[in-house]
Amino acid sequence: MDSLHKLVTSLMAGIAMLAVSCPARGQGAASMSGDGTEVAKWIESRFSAGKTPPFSFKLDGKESGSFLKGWKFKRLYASTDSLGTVTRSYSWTNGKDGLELVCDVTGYPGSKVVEWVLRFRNISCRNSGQISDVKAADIRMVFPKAGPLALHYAEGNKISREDYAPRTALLGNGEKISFMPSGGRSSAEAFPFYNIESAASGQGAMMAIGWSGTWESSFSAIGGQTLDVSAGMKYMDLYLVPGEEIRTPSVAFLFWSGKKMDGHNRFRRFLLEHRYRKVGGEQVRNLLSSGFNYRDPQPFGEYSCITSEWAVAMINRYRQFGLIPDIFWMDAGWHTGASDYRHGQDWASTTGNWTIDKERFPDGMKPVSEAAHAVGAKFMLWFEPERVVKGTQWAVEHKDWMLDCPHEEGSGHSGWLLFDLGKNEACDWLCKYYGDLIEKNGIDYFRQDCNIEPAPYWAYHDEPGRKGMKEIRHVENLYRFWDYLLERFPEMVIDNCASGGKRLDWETIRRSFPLWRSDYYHYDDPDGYQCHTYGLNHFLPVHGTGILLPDPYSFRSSLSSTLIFNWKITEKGLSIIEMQERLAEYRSIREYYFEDYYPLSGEGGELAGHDVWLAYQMHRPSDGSGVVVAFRREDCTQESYRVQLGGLDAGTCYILKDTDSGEEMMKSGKELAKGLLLRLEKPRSSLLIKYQKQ
Amino acid sequence: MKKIATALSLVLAGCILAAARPAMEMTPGGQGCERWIERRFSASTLPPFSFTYNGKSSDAFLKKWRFSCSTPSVPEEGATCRSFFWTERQGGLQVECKVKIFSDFNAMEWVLYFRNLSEENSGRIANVKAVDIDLLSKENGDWRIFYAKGSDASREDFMAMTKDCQVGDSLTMVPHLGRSSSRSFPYFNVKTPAGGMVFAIGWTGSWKAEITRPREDRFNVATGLKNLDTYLRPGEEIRTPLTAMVPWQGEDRMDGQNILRRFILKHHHPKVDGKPLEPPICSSFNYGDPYPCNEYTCMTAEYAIALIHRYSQFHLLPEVFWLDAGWYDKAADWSHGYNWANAVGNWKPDLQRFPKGLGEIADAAHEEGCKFMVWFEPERVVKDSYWAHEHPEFMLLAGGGKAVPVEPGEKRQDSFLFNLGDEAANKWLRETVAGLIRENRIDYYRQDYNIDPEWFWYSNDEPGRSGMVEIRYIEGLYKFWDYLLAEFPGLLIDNCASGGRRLDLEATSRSIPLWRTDYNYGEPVGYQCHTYGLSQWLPVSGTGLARSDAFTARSSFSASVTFNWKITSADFNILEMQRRLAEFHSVKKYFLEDFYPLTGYGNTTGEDIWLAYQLDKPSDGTGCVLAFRRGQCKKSSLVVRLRGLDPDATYSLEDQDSFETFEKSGKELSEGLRLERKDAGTSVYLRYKHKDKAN
Repeated sequence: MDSLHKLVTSLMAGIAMLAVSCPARGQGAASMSGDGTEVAKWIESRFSAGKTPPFSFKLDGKESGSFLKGWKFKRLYASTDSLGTVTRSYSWTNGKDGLELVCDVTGYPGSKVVEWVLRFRNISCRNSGQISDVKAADIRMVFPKAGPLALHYAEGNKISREDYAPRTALLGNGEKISFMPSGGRSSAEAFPFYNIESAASGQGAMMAIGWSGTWESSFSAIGGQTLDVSAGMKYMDLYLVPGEEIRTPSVAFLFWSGKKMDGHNRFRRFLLEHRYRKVGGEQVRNLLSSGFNYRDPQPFGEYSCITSEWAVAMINRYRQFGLIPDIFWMDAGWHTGASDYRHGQDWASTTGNWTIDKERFPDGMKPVSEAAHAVGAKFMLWFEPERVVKGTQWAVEHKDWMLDCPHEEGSGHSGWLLFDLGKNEACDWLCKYYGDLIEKNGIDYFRQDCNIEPAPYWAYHDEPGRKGMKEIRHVENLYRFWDYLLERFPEMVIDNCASGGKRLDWETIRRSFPLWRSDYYHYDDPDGYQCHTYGLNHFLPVHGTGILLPDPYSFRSSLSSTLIFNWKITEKGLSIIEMQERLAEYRSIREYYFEDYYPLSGEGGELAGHDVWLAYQMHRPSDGSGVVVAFRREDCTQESYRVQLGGLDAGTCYILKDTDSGEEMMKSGKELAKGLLLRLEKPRSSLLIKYQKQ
Repeated sequence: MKKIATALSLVLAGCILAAARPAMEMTPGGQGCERWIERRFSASTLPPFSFTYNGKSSDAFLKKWRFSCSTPSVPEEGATCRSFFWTERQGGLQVECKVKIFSDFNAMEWVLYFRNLSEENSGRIANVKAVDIDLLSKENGDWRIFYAKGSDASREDFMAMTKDCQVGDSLTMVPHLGRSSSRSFPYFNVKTPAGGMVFAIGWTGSWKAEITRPREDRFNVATGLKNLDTYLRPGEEIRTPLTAMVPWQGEDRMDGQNILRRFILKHHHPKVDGKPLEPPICSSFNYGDPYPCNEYTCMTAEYAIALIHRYSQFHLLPEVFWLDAGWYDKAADWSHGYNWANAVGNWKPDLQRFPKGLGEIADAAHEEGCKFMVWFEPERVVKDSYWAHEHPEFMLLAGGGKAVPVEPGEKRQDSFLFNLGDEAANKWLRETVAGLIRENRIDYYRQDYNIDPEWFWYSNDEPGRSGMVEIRYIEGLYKFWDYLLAEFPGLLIDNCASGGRRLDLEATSRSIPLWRTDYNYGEPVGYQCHTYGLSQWLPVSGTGLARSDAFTARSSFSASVTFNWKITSADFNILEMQRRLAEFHSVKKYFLEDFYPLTGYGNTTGEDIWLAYQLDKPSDGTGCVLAFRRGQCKKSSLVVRLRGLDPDATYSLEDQDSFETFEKSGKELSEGLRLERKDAGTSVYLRYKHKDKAN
């Protein structure tokens, strides 16, 4: 599949100027006001009769800008809740062609956030015209002051040290940058979250795309004040049959004033407050997990040889050692056939056998979940419903729900089928089948992996003239499936994995948490995990990774709001006391990862190097306390490193404590913002400084 | 000057002794043990032992004592037992020499007993040489002593040693601080130009051996106790070390030492139902837990059972599941500074970790068809332990005096020695340990001994009774073990003393050393050395195995092995472990016949050499060759000369790595077989069979 399309193209100035005076495609223009944006007004002013809405599409090749004003506009629904959240639904109907376009808009005035999603519906008795080039967002942002326009973005997940690495593209006049993920997974090699900044204007906008398939985004600068922003599906050119309806990507914007990190932190707070799933009305913050003494001897991979008895014994072993996590996490390999190494099988080659291996779990997972519950922990189980290996139970029993496609020779994926989740009958069955399995076995949290790139399967099975339909249906039903589980199990948490964090987008983060943000973990490179925390924290407050060793450097490298400790509690090279100390340290600072974030080492490719310092700060504005975490890497020759802390009150004194040496110092917020000298005598060492107001 | 004087005095002393000592002519005709015994144990001859009584040499008076002998008995097939008595005519001291003659091996052994039959204290018995014998040869040639280093937890443990002896030379061996194979080894081989004699000492304490060459034509060999100078009370009896002797003919030391190996297997190896106990393949319980757990201080019943089932699941079942130190009370209490080592004496299963005792682990092992072995260390009693508090009267205090237990938390590393020599203590111990074995359904009993007892013994001897505490202790040890073996007929005693530091003939008769050294756990080159050295004397020993690659695994090849593979680790491969386990099953039988070192008798510890040995099984014409090209060895090939083969026969050989086969005559193999390995740090495992004999 295509890899990241990141393209900066110079446009001719004349065209750019033309574009400014005459927006193409019927693009909605927005004068940017940062914090001053009045969300309800912003919505009303753009979604109303005679106005060009902030989206566009083509119908039979014609730009919507050329005809949408002629369609019948209607406000279908409007409400404002007690918190001020504005919910609106608008429709545009073309009576002649029988096509209805519905846009559901939600605004959060306090957070300066607006989001919307478009749906197309054929209300006629005949096939619709060809719908294509749907830009769920298509906005011309006009900032008050001219100056460099910066797009702050992150690298997508490519299972590398640079996953989520922060990047900035400074877009000069006529320059354009575009993104799209690879393979049909929404954060594979591109990342659908951005921060648009006009430094000259002292404001910007966070942007997020909600589409767990192949989206595309584009940012084109026109002059120093104007940025054309668009986002939508990459592959879509289809007609609708009578009565048919589709949805398209959702988009969200958060308008901010100040500096770049103000935008990021406002976005993080918004996610925590409004976007992430809550259980019992509360944010879910207890996501410290442990594996079951991960991993098993070769040729077993992951948990291909775990048994019920062994799992229970391990749970009790963690209890014995005072290492009980919030969640016991059983990953891949528990299913039927995964342990059949004698016939060359493993966890990966047997997905599709979604029954619990009776030989290893004669009474199912209940004994394991009960053992976890008995020690006060949740039990999470791994699933991978979308990748079905040929010859497995599902492949045989539900042939009609399997999608196959040609593969490149030697790709190793020719034995894989894609579960046709987009087929409603299949999705319904999946909901019930997994729901029942979860209920019967006492599974608390549902971990869904997706190690298959679905895009080629979708493309191969699209009917002529209906390009993108398979993808749309799959993505719609992925959300339907997850929503079903979340409704049936009100306390459930979904752990969203796709070969690591390859499906992180505005829609998935609403329903799930990425507890395993990168498969780069398998390289056991703590510096890489530092990079991932450092990068991903810009956009998402909740994410996690694993930790293999309990030494401070390794452990702190994996610090995040969630964490899975995969320490080998059966190995004599480790220390129970050290592991206990690390967990205590983690629990003492975890809450800060749900607060504001300040990267202290800038950005750029050098962050991935072995010879640098990396530092960041987590800050709790409510009480002025926080932590500074810093790493001097192995080949770094600098013993000291100056950082400028963020978010502090210049006139307040802060007490800082080095948690390793116990040394304390007092500094004013002004001093700390100007520069705090961090010092580590030895390479490959770390600092954890806690601070609080005096 | 001093040296010359000493040498002269030694020669002089040797001459005097030599003139009086019973001798064995080292010729084929002169080595018939049965005839020799008949000649040497009679009223008119000086017996082949000596002692002093009230300072006088027995040589001077023993012929005057009343001599008698028992009628021969046959205690076991191939052995005839006779006792010879010398009884003081005035006074009541009786010396009994209990002799066994082995017709199937042309070997002999005896033990001296001293008995006070009178109503008064005896005179002082000292300088007991349980064997005091000359080995004669009129021929010219090499006079050599072959012996071995004892265990000192080093790569050199059991390494073969050679001493060329000129007239006046001598070699004295005493084990270190009371454990019978600590630093010195109680087996040696004395070779004259006309043949040799292998000696094996049975005394699980401080024995002593002196080999001198007093004259051109002889060696004198004396064995006994390091420290004995005592009187006996009325009715009192003591025993002294057992010494076995195996005469041999041939050029190479292994001609004699292979006879010793067979002799031990036949007559000094534990038996079950009359059959030799088969050395087992053992497994730990996934040995090695995280700090501060050590050994098995974190083991629980649930975890142990889950592990047993895990071994079963992985098709890695051993013959014995071996639960080592740490299962008892307090061992898990690391927060108060306890561990496996300083909690000994608290001999109750820790009920927090083993709520139903160890029996349910035994049951799980039995269900898988395996035996269950548990570690004990009853002789070392930590001063704050239960036993110390419950029975301070059973304890010996280092330095002598009353043993007073300490309160928990005080001086925990300090220990008493359990006084096995006290019959009340011994009885209590026998019954207590037997109770633990019974209650916990333990099949095999592993006894460790991490204490140097000598000072405990010597400092507690009464005035005028030097050596008595040791003697009673050692007698008590045998009584204790014999009781257990009688009480539990299928019992295997695994004899450990910080590794193999109690490997004398008496211990060997009752036990198997499954953990022959505490040397750097899992280091393969050392383990090769230990097999190479120890197998020259003892057919049965075992060691551990930490990794599962071929080089490491084969380095631990022995009659028994304990695999300490981490079956919980992703660094291990189950298929590889299964292959290695199958190899162990295939090779272990070869250790029970003849052993031939193929790379000499020098220092074997270098990283840049080849080491090779041959295991030959004359009973069916099969055998194998093990060779190791060590990590820094630059030579890609090694020529070895196989031994014990029929020169006229054709042998088929199979490389156990490539499974290539080839044929060679016995003559060719004895002239030179080239072993090749392209890479350093690799091994050769060849199996061969006599084409006309083997199946």
